[in-house]
Amino acid sequence: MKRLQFIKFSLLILGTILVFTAPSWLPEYYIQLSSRSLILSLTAMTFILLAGYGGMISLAQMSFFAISGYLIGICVMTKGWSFSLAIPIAIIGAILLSAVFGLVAIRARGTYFLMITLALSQVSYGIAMQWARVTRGSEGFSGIIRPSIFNWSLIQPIPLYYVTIITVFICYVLMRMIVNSIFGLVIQGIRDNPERIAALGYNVQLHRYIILIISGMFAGIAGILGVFYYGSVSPSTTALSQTILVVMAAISGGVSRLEGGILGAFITILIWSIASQHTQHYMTVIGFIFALIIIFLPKGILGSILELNISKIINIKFLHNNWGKK
Amino acid sequence: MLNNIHLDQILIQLLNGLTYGGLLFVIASGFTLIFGLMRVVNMSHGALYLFGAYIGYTFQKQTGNWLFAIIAGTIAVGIMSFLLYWLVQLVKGDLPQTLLTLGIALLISDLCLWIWGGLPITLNAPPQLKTLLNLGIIQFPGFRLFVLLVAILVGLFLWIILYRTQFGRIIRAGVDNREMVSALGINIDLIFMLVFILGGILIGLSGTIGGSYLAFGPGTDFNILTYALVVVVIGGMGSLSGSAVSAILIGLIDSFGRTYIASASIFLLSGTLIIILAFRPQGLFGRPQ
Repeated sequence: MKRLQFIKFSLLILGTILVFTAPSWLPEYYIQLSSRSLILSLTAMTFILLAGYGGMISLAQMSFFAISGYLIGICVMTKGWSFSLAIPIAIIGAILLSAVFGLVAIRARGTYFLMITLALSQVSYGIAMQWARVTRGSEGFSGIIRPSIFNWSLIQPIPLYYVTIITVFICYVLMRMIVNSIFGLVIQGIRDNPERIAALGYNVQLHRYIILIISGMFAGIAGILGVFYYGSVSPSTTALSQTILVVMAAISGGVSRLEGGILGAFITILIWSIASQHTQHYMTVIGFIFALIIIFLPKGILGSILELNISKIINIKFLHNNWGKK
Repeated sequence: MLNNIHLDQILIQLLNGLTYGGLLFVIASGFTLIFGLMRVVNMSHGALYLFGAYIGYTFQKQTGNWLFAIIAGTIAVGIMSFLLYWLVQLVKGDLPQTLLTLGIALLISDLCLWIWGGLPITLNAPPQLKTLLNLGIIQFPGFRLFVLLVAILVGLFLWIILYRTQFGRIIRAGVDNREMVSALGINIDLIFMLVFILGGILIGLSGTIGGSYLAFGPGTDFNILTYALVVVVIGGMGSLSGSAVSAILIGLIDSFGRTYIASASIFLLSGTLIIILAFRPQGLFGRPQ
């Protein structure tokens, strides 16, 4: 087992070095794609937090993403406030929206939960569209100029890449800590057997409510990164075609682990960028591949690899090399 | 005098709301039928509606006959629904099935954009249906009353099938206990397939009728799915009478909202949804889960 940990650790170090030196050996276009993938991975991880650990498939994640984007737009463009004020407001907005959505959706389970979150996300699309006085209607906000952090302007793609990766990494570590904490174990217990967890004296609904809000908050953070990256936010941010990218990222990677979201997001953005370079109708390609993944790879790439039981394979190799013997 | 005008307006809004509610009921009926039996949220509902409307449009352009357009659109979506059923059967479990329909929704909408372009269009109902009818104090477009009539007929038809035939008894038994029905020697898969096709036929009908009522184009699929979802969630999932009541409720809210509190109708809609779900999470007529 120690060997496995060593391999994991060295992979982690290697990955970190690769990721942080990436701007020096990757063309700028791929750095931008990476930033996009990272933003999508954060959103996909918030989806996995609910779907994989909490057993709640939420299609409303893009609404939390969009509301913080809109709040940044309103604060910075309409009111002319600074980003240091806008960012906390945006996060609080995402928390409040998820608290409201949670109140409505929390009592539903399974397909019902999915359906109610979908209805809520569609309704938020409608609000973004119709409440034109505040949201600027179908145009939304565009041309939001990225701020500077400690005199370090984010307008260039490479500083933005670093800010994105550091933020996503911190959020990932926090989410890892949450799922591995007692609270996270209770959440997973609720997913598997809510009656038993209730019998143990835990407040099942309260736990589900809190994880919903936590996930909404992280989706809001992703929304802020999204506004930095795209410089715009519009009703289509919370449209079904965006939600499907999140679900695709989560499912292609595998919803059983947070890391699946990262893997899946990079794959999804890669497919998206290749498809959109070749055809205007890339959504057809995305929809088709999404359907294929659901049919043939329901556990996702990471889930399927984990099923192969890596530790056994590695042990066998080590035995062959006679390293495993004392 | 002033009172009279006010009464006129209210009557017209009332009728508008009722007819719009009728259309919403037809739209939601296919959705609730499939969901009630299969527990699959058919997310390609809106896309299939759009597809039916476009097929109807093409047929009307070719033949000039509105009735042909309705029939063609209805049959086309029925066939699509049959294909969808087989695709959905490829995966196990209602959640993966639901997500699969999401992918297919995207595929169909984008294909529609590809084939028919992005301009909003509409089907033309025959002039005999379009005349203004004189209803005593007010005049009202005949086509809207026709839509209401269709909605009532669809509701009656579904009610008779579900509650007055052996087929309906099997469906309702299948909703409660699939294994037991199948153990009685009934081919439940065949029944499910037929219900799925019937749901598709209803979507096609609503697409062509709705396409003559409201203009359609890219984005319509999204709106229709929203309305179907909201109607079904408020009415209680899988409940036909619940869908009827909530469709009329939403129709009235929408009609009065648009007139008296313009541009806030979406808030009224979402407000209604949130308030009803807060007090009755299973919807108005739904059974507790």
